[in-house]
Amino acid sequence: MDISAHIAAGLKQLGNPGVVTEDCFSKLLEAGVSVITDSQKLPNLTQLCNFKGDAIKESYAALLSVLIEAARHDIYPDALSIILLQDYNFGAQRNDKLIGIYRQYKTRLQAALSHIGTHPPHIIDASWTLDYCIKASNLEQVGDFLYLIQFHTESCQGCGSGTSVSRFKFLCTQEELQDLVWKLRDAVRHVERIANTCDLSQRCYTNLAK
Amino acid sequence: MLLSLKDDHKQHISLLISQPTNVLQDFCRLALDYLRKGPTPKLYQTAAQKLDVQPEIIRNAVEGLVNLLVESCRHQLSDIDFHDTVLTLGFSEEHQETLESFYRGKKQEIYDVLSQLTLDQPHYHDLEWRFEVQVASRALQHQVTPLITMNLALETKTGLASDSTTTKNIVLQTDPTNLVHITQVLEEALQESRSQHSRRIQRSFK
Repeated sequence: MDISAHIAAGLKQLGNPGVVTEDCFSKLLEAGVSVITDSQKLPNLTQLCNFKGDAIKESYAALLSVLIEAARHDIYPDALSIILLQDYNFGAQRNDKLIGIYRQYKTRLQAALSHIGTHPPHIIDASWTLDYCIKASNLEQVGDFLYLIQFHTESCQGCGSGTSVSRFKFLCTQEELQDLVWKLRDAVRHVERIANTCDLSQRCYTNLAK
Repeated sequence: MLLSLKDDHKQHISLLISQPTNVLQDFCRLALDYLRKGPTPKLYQTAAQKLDVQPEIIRNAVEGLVNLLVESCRHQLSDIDFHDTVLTLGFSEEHQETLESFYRGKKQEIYDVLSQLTLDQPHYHDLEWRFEVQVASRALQHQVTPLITMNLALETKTGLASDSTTTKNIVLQTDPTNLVHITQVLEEALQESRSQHSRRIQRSFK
């Protein structure tokens, strides 16, 4: 886990009971986790702990960095505990508190991090209308079915600022819809086949390991 | 069903009624050229000199003939209906035979072109898909996220010529659960068109 010198200094302060009291530490921990997972308004740090403003800010920054880096690299809680004890002189009680929170919130931290990045619009739903076209302005009689398909897509603008739903519309005839459905069914079959082979290979691997 | 043409249309075609059959055949050929390449003023000039009329009148007659053909295709006139329409306009029997062979030859082609003129919304063309697993990103390493990326190609007809289409490629993504869901939804849609209700409607409008 690579941490800059600045953050390392902040971490040492975080572990120091003289700079950050137990009560303050718990409050910082709560605030830090809620900011990462919920992206609420930034908490007013001077209200939480009312002395040594700069030291508190540095410790808070270090706490956030440690949580995010650990989640990002998928570090085990025990490994993190050892790092904090040995390199940053964390007291046993404080260490347990932090590791407990990390263990509890690890998946949510990782979920929040996975929203960051660029993705193509993600399809979440499809809706359709079936029309029977009787007449058109330049043809007197068109007796044919026409489908209007809408794909609802979601693009995540980063955790907390919500997701925007947009729709892609297009027309197709019966034959074209049949073609589309065949292609999608093909994709589904492929995914299921891969899922089954992964299952099998995992079972084989565990059998071999035994 | 008889076609009723507008008065000025009838006036333009009336020039042809008095002409002999071979002249009518020449006019049919001019009309075919008009459909393929557009108006040819030089030919109209020579025809005007031969028949001793203004070039505009020749042009009107050719355009009238083309319009007659397009209107008949639009209404999907059968041979008998076309026969009756032509006789009502005042053409003789031999003229009518020439015109009928002209109509029969071009009917299908013009109908296809006309049917393509109605669509101006994006129309499905193709779907390509790719199954991938996201292994890591800058923000989160050590992931195993299955994703299906799709390229949806949509066509929109622009302009009146049938081969000017703009293809738009949209890249979309979904996960396996949503893929199964949308496949189910679209299969239901397909089933719906084969249901009794839809078939009854189709029968009643035929």
